[in-house]
Amino acid sequence: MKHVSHLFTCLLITFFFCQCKSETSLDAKTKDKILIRGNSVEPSGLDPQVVTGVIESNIIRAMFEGLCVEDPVDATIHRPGAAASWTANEDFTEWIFKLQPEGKWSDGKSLTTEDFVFAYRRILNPSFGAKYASMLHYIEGAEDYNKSHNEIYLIKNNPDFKDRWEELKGINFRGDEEVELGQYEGTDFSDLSRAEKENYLKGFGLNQLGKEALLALQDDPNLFEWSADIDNATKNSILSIYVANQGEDMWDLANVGVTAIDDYTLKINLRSPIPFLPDLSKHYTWYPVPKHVILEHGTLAQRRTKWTEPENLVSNGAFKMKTWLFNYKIELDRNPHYWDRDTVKLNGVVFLPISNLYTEARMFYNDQLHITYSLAPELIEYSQEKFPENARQETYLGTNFLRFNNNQDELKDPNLRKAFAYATDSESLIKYVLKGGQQVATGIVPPMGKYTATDGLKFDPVLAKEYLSKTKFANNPADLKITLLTTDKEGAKTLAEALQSMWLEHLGIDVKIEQREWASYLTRMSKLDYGIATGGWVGDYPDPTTFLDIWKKGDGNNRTGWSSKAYEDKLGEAALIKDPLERIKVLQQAEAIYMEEMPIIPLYWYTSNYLLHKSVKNWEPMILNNQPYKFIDLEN
Amino acid sequence: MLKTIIDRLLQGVVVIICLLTLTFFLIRMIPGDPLTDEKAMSPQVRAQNMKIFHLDKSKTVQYGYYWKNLFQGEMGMSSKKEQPVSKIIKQSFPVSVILGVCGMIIAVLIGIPAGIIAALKHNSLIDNGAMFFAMLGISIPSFVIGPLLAKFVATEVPYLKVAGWGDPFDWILPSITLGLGTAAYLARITRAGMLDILSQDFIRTAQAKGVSQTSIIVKHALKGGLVPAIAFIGPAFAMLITGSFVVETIFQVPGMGQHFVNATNDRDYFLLQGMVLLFGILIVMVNLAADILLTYLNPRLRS
Amino acid sequence: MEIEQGNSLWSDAWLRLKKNRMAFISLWVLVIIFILCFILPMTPLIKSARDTDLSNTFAAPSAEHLLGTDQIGRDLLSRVLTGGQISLLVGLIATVISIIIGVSYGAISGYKGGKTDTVLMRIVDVLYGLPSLILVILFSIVISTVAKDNEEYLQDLLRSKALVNLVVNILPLCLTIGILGWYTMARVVRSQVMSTKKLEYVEAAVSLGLTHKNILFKQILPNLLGPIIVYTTLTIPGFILTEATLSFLGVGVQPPNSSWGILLNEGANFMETQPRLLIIPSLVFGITLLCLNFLGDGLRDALDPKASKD
Repeated sequence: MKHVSHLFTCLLITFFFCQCKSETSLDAKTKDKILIRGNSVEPSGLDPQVVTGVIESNIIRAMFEGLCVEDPVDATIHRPGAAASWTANEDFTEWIFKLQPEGKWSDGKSLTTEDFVFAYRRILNPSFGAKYASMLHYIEGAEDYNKSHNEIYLIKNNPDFKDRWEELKGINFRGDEEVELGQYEGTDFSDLSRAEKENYLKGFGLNQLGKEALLALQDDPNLFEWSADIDNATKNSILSIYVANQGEDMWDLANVGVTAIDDYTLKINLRSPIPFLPDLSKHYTWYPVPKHVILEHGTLAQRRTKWTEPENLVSNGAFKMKTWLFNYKIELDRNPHYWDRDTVKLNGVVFLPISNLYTEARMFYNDQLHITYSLAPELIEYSQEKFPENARQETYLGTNFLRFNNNQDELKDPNLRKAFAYATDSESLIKYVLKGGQQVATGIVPPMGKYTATDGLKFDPVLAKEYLSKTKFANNPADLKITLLTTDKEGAKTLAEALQSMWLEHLGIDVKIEQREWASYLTRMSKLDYGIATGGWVGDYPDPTTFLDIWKKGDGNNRTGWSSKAYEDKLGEAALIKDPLERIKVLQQAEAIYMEEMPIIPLYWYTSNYLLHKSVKNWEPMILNNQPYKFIDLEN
Repeated sequence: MLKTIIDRLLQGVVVIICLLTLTFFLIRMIPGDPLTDEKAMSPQVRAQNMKIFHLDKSKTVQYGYYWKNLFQGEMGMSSKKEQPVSKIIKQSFPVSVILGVCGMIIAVLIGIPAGIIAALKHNSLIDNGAMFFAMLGISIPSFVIGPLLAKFVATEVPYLKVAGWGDPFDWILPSITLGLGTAAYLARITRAGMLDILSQDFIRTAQAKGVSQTSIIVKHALKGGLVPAIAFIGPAFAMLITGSFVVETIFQVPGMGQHFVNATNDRDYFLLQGMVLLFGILIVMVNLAADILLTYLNPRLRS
Repeated sequence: MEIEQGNSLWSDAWLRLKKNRMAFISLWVLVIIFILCFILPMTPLIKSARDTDLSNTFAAPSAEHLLGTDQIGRDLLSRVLTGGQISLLVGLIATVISIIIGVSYGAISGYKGGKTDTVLMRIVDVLYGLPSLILVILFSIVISTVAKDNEEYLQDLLRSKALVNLVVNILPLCLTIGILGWYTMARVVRSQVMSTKKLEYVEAAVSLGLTHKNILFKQILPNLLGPIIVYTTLTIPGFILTEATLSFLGVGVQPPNSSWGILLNEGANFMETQPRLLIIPSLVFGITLLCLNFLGDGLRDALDPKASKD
C-alpha cells in the first residue's frame, strides 16, 4: 500500500503544480506565436538530400530555404530566398543566381555558393545513394555523374582512347536492363557460378562493378561479353583503368553544370530549356546544405552522420532546430541569423507526429493544434457543418488512379482496360465514398497553370460495354479472373469494395479484392504481381512533366509494364522546346497518346482536407500545400 | 536460491538468442525490405543503399554481422528513420515504462480488490456485479474504450486532454484504457484463486476453531489465494508494455508499442531486432522476479 | 425412502450449471446468437452484406433496413450477422487449433516429466516471451501469402467458393492466432497431468505395468476434459478480441469478409457522426463475449468440484 500512497502524493503535488503553472492551452501558444502543426508520422530523418516525403518536407521547408521562395498568395510569383536575384538566358538553359549578401547559416557562418556546389555534388554523388537525386538531373552532366556513366570520363574523354571511341562505344558499360539484378542481392560475387557471374557482369556493366568483380574480370576477361572486335590488350588496359578508378569520385571529370563564379554568384547550366527552374529550386532537393557542419561530422558521401542530430543541425531558413524527440515532437525556434528575420512573424513551430487521424481531429477540437495534417473522410462533412470556419478543402496537386498490369495477358488488350475505365463512376465514388470534394480526373495530369486537363475520360457504362464487346470476354465476363490490389490503409477497403460492385454492375466482372499491408503491396506492385492496383502520384513541382515522366520505360515508378515509344518521343520533343506555351501543347499531345492507351484509370484529382484554427493568419490555399512559414502569423 | 536464479538467467539468455534468431529470419521471409518505398529508386541507387544498410551480403553473413555488432554494443540503425536504434529506445522506453506501470497499478487497484470481494461474497449480488464489470472490461476492445474515454471523459474533466503526452495528467486516460482489460483478468484470477483457497481444509479447520474471519483472510487466505494473480502479473506487465500500440496511437503517447508494429510494417530490420532484444530481456527479468516472489509466497515450491 | 442414485460427473455438472443463473442465461443467449448469425443470413429475410447502395448511405433504421445502412449503403443488420459468423468461426477454429497443440504438448510434457518436461516448458517460456503482436503480424503475412499463392489449386481441390474463401482468407488468421495462443493450455494441461499422475490410482496403474498409451488415454485424459471445456469457453472470447485488435491494425480478415472487429473499428471512426454504427456492433459483440465468459466461469464452477463445494 505504501507505493499507492506515494502515487497519490505525487498526483496531488503535480495537481497543485499544474494549477500554479500558467495554462498550456492553444491560446497561450498563440500569444507566444508558436505554431502547432499535426504532421502525421515521425519523419524519416531531416537531411534534405536523403528524405523523399511530404512529412519531412513540411519540417525541412521551415528550416531550410532554396534559391527562390513561394509567395504566400500567388503561386506564379517567385520571391527571393537564398538568392537575392536571378537571370536566365533566352532559352532558359543558363541561369545566374546572385546570393543574399546577408545570407547566413543558423550558426552565424555566411552562406556562399560553395555550400550550393557542395550540396549538389553531395546529392548527385553516386555512392551517397540519394533516392531523389533525379530531381537534379536537369543540370548539365548531372545524370551521367549521378548514374556513374564512367565510360565518358575514363574512356571517351581519355586522350589514350579518344580516337578509338567509335570502336569502343559498343562495350557494355552501363549494364543490360533486361537482367533482373534483384536476384543477386545478398550474394557475394565469388559465390556465383560461372554462368551466374557472366549474367551478373552483363546486368551491371563495367561502370557498376565493385572491386571484387573487376579483379575477377582482370584474371579472366572472357567472363564479360565485350563487343566482338576488341583485342586483349585493350581489354586489359580498360580494365586496369577501371580497377584504378574503382570507387573514385568522378566529380572533377564530370563537368556538372554548377559553377561558383564567386562567393555570391552561382551559375547553373541545364541540359535542356527549363523555364520552371525557380519552381524546382523551391523543392528541398535543391536546398543548400551546410558544408562546414557536414564535413565536421563526416565526409561528403557519407550517409547517416551526426550532422542532423538536433544539437548539430544547422540550417539557413526562417527557423532552426530546438528539440527533436522521437515520435513525440519536433520544436523549431526562430533563426536569429536569417537574412529576412524581420519578415518572420512566428517565434517557433512545433510538429507533432499524430498518425491516427481521429486522434488528430479530437486534439484539434480540444484546442491542442493549430493545423491538422489531414482530415478523415468520415469527419469532413461533420466538420464542415459544425466547424465551417475551420474545415478547409483545397486543390492539391496530385492524381489518384488505378494501375493496370499491362503484362497480364488479359489486360494487354486496351479495349478491356478501357471497358474498366469507362465503367468506373468516379463521381459517385467522390460523392458517396471519398466525400472530400475531390475532382473527377479526366486525365493523368491535373490542371495546373496554363496546362488544361484533357477531357478524355468520363463515366459511360454504354461505351464501357461496347469496349467489353470487343474483347474476348464479351460473352463471358464472369470468367475473367482479375484481382484488385489495394492497401490496408484507412478507407482503401471501402473504395475497393465500391469499385468492385461498380464493375460487377456495369461489366459483369467480379474482381477479387486483395488487401495487403503497405510493404507487401508495394513489393507486389513493383514485381507486377497484380491485376489492377490502386495508386496515386503527387506532383513535386508545378509542371506537367512531374506526372508524365514516370511512365517512361524502365522508370521505377511506372509499375504497369506499359511503355510507348511514341509517348516518349513526344516527351523528348517537348523537352527541347523553349516557348512555354508550345511546350505545353506538345506535352498535351503526349498525354493524349497516353490516355488513348489507358495503362491506368485516373480516378480523381486530390484535394487536401484539413482543419485550420482561426488564429492562423496569412495561410492561403496552395496547390502543393507548401505555405511558406515565414509569412504566417498567429493572432487571437 | 542463487543457483536457481543463475540457472534461470542462463536460460533467459538462451531464450533471447532464440527470439532474436527467429525474428531475424522471419522478418526477412515476408515480402518487401527496408528499401521498399512508394517512390521507386533506380537499381544503382538501390544497390548503393543496400550497401549503406549492410543488406548486400547473404543472410547468414548478415546474421553473423548482427551478432558481432551486438557484442560491441551496437544495435544498428533504423533503416526507416535513419536513427540509431539505441537512441530511439532510450527516448521511448521510459514512456512505455510509465504507461505500463500506471496501467498495472490501475489493473491491480481495481482487479485484486474486486476479485477478493467477489470471492468472499461468492454467488451474491456483489459477486455477480463485480464479475459483470470485470467481464465487460474483457469484452470491449481498447480501441473502442479509448476513443470513448477521450470523447466523453477528457472533454468534460478539467486537466485531462483528449490526447498528448506532457504532464502526469496525460498519463491517466491511457493508463485506464490499457489497464482495464488486465484489471478484468486479474479480478477473475483473484476470485478463482481465493475460492480455491477458501475451500481448502486448513481454512475450514481454522473456521471451525473459531478464528475470526478477518484474520483468516488476511493471515492465510490472501497469501495463498493471490498466488495465481501474482503469477499472472509478471507476464501481464510485459504484455502491457509490448501491447500498448492501440493505446499509444489513440492517445498520442510516444512509447515503444508502436515501434513494434511500425518496424514490422516498414521492414525496419534493426529497429525490430532492438525491440525484440529489449522486450526479451524485460520479459525474462519480469518472469524471474515473479518466480522469486512466488517461491517466497508459496513454501511448497521452495524445495 | 429413495435410494440416492450416483450421479455421473456430467449430469452433476449440468445440474450445477442450471443452478448458476447467469451462466444458464448466457448459454441460451449464445444459442440464439449462433442461430441468428449462422442460420438467419441463409434465409431471404436478410439482405446480402455485400450489396452496396451508394445513394442510400447512413440510412436510418427502417422497415427495409432494420438497423439502417453503413457508409457505402450496406445493410447493417446483415453485416452484423455475417460479421458474427466470421468472428465466431475465427474464435472457434483458432481455439480448436490451440487446444490440439496445447493438449498434446502439455500432456507429453507433464507425463514424461524430468528433462523432457524442463526443456518443453522452457520452450513455452520462450514462446510466452515472444511479443505476440509482432509474431501475429509476421505469421499472418507469411501464412496468408502461402495460402493465397495456392488459391487456384485449392479451387480445383475444394470446388466450393465458400470453402476456398474459408481456407484462403480465414484459416490463415485462425492458424496464426491458434499457433500463438496454445501456451496457456499447455501449461494448464501439464500441471493437471502432473497432479493426476501422482494420484494413487494412476501410480497403481503404473506399478501394474499398463502401457503409457493406456495410462495417458484411459486414466489421465478424462480428467483433463473439464479444464479443456472451461478453457475453451474462456479462450474463444479472447481470440475474438485478438481478431478485433488485428482488424484495428489492418491484418484481420480480408474483404469481402468482415468481422465484428472490423465493424467495431469502422464504428469507432464514425463515433462523432454516426454513433449507431458503433453502438450496435458493440452491443452484439459485448453481449456475446460477456455470455461466453459467464458460461466459461459457470462451467468452471460446475466442473471443478472443489470450487463447487460451497
